[in-house]
Amino acid sequence: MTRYPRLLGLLLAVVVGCGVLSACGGPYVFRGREVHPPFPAPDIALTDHHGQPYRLHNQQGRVIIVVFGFTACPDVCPTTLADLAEVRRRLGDDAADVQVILITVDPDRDTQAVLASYVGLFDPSFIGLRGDSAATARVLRDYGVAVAKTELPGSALGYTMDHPTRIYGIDRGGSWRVMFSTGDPLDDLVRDLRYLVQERAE
Amino acid sequence: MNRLLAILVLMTACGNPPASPAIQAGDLRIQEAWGYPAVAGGTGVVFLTIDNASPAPDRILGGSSVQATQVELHATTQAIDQAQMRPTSSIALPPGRRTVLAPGGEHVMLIGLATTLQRGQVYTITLNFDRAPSVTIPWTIR
Repeated sequence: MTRYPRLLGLLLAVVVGCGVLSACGGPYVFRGREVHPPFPAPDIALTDHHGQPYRLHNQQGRVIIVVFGFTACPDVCPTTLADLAEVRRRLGDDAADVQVILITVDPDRDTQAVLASYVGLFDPSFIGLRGDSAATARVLRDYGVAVAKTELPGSALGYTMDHPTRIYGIDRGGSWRVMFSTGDPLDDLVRDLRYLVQERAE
Repeated sequence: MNRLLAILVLMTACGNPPASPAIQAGDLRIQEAWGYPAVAGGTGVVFLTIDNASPAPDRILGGSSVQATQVELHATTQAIDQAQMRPTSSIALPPGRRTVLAPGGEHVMLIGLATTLQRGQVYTITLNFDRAPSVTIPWTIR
């Protein structure tokens, strides 16, 4: 009779221990697509929606989420941003160390003022970045983002920008660690980002 | 119209309003109309759910809104992480079926927004169909 509670306690300790260590001593298994081995995220040198210069390499110490999009994109881009806002809500206190960045692929239409109004609609902490066509092209190339400007005859929109729906996760040390796509389960993002926030900066 | 207005006022007063109520247009029942926040001058989107109780097919042909200079129908397709959006002339509403317009697919698009669309606000849009009578419905920014 007295042996069972002790066994139960041991089992509970193992279960809780495994929960804390994630994989019982093994390496953490990302739910998103792990970038393995991690490698230094290319620098991003653009201007933020307040008009201040932004350098990714000056942001170490925080977990950075990078997405590419444009404000005239009514469907995929707001879905991504609304999802990321929800992920930050679910992260609770850990959200303080997660910075979401939207890089516009349409700097012609997305002026600093437009970006400033737009990102704040989803989460006041979000940062919108833009650059001239050369600076934008450099970032797109470094991140392997293929963007196609496509004319839309007969649409008042004029043109659209075909672009990827990837979400890039960069750790506190500035390394590219994990990737997601718009539509992935939000709890997967929450779990992986919480891990990146809580892991010891190397 | 007064009743619609009353519903709108009530919903706006509730902070984070629930899904818009179902509206009947002929054999079509339209509900769950919602969209994302968007900036004035920019582009908005309306997603919705339509049940077509008719034995005949219907189609959304377009619409109008005081919140936008233009209302168009568009469809997003995604292939290996790459999103493309193109105009479409109509959105099919098969007979006896529920059609759900949701992110990543067909949607009603508002171009040239007169105002910034804020989370929690409720607006109206008029939709035109091939068979069913045109109808004005409320939609909520989530």
